[in-house]
Amino acid sequence: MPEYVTVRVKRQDGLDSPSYWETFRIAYQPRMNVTTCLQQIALNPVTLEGRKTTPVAYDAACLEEVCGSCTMNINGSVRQACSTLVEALRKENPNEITLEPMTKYPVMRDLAVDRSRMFRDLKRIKAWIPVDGYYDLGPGPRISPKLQHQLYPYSRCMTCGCCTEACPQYTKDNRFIGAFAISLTVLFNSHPTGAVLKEDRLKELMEPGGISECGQAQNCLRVCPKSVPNVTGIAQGYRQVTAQWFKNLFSR
Amino acid sequence: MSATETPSIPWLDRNHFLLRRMHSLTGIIPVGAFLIEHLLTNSGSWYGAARYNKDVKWIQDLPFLFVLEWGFIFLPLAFHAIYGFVIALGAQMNATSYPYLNGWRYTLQRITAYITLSFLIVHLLKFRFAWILGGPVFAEAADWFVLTRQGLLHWHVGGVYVPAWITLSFYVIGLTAAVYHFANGIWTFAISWGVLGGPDSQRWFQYVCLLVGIVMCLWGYISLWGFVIHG
Repeated sequence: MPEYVTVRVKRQDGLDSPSYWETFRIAYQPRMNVTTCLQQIALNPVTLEGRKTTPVAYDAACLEEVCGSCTMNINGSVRQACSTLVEALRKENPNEITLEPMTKYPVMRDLAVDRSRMFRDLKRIKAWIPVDGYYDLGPGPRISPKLQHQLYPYSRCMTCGCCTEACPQYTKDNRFIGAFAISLTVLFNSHPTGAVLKEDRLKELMEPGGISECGQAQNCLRVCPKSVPNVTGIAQGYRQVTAQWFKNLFSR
Repeated sequence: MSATETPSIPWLDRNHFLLRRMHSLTGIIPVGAFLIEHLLTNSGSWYGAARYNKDVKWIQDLPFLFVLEWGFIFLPLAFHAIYGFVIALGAQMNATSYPYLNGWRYTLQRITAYITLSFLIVHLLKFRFAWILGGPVFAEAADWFVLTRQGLLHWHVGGVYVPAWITLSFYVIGLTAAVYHFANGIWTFAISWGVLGGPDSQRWFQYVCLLVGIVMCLWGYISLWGFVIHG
């Protein structure tokens, strides 16, 4: 077992500040993950060259891969810091770990990024079941176990943004809503109560930045930490949008 | 108080989905369909000059050829190329960071688009608009077969002879790129029109597209070879 772990971090002091690299060396502990590394750096924020610096800023909440907030580029590929084990990373590169912020969102500081674009796009596609009202709406419709089984995988999405980070079509300067939003459109359209907003959602998918921005590189499926079936989601999204398009063309 | 102003939405944005649908459709019909027709006619070269000339004459004698050529080939092709170029420019290719098969397929679809477009421009200026890049053989050639053979094996540009192996390699590369772009395009077309509803159907259909691509490549190589062997 190694004595030390070398961590190279791409840092940035503020929203529009230039980025720079700092390297840290921390004591190795068995079964440590990337969040542990960042905690160790915060305990003693001194670079490899012995210069005192500030602790590295990063987002974290659940520490068990269900909130998605600690998503970052680790050794060049996007994943969560909390569930990425140092031992596994040593197989990729035994010498050092590189940590970079996500590239598709504005960097607020160091590894913390502003993903409010994702939240805006969730609102855009109305990613909810409309059950709010000021009177009792009664019991909801029954959902067959078969449909539940089909839909559950979509509901695992934690809006971490891995699918958008790995997508060649999702860029900082376009409006693409990304794989997660398309998969969630399919989830809420398939729900018997959610389906009342189906046409509104499909209209958004047909707008600029909608489903037709997808280039079918399918990285969204490969990088998703929660195994959301994004390829099925996008294929079904395309099917719904095509049907809606023909309906719009011929039924009015 | 003045009436609320409706923000004007740009024409391209208002017709976004229609344009994307048309871009997807024009790639298959008529551009892809024409690629198949083109290979069909050219593979007549395998049977020699007489057969090839007979087939080309049939096409040349089609009624309203001008409308067919511009309306069903040049304009859809130009739209597919220009609009596709705009889409491709907005991408951030990352197949080296995420080296998955589909990522490479996506990247190759864009690379072959650029190769095919460059190839087609030269190919058109050489044979269809031959007064621009065709060279002197086009004034002298006895028939269409001789003309094509000369253009492939004895091509002169601005008085400079282009060795036959360079011209032929250029054609093999251009043809292969065009066929890849078409075969993979059938696959992406089938997804974006909602035909393939998930990864399992996409998996078996990719082999259908692969087979189409291989057959079309061999078909094109045979056509080229026909012009080489019949002198």
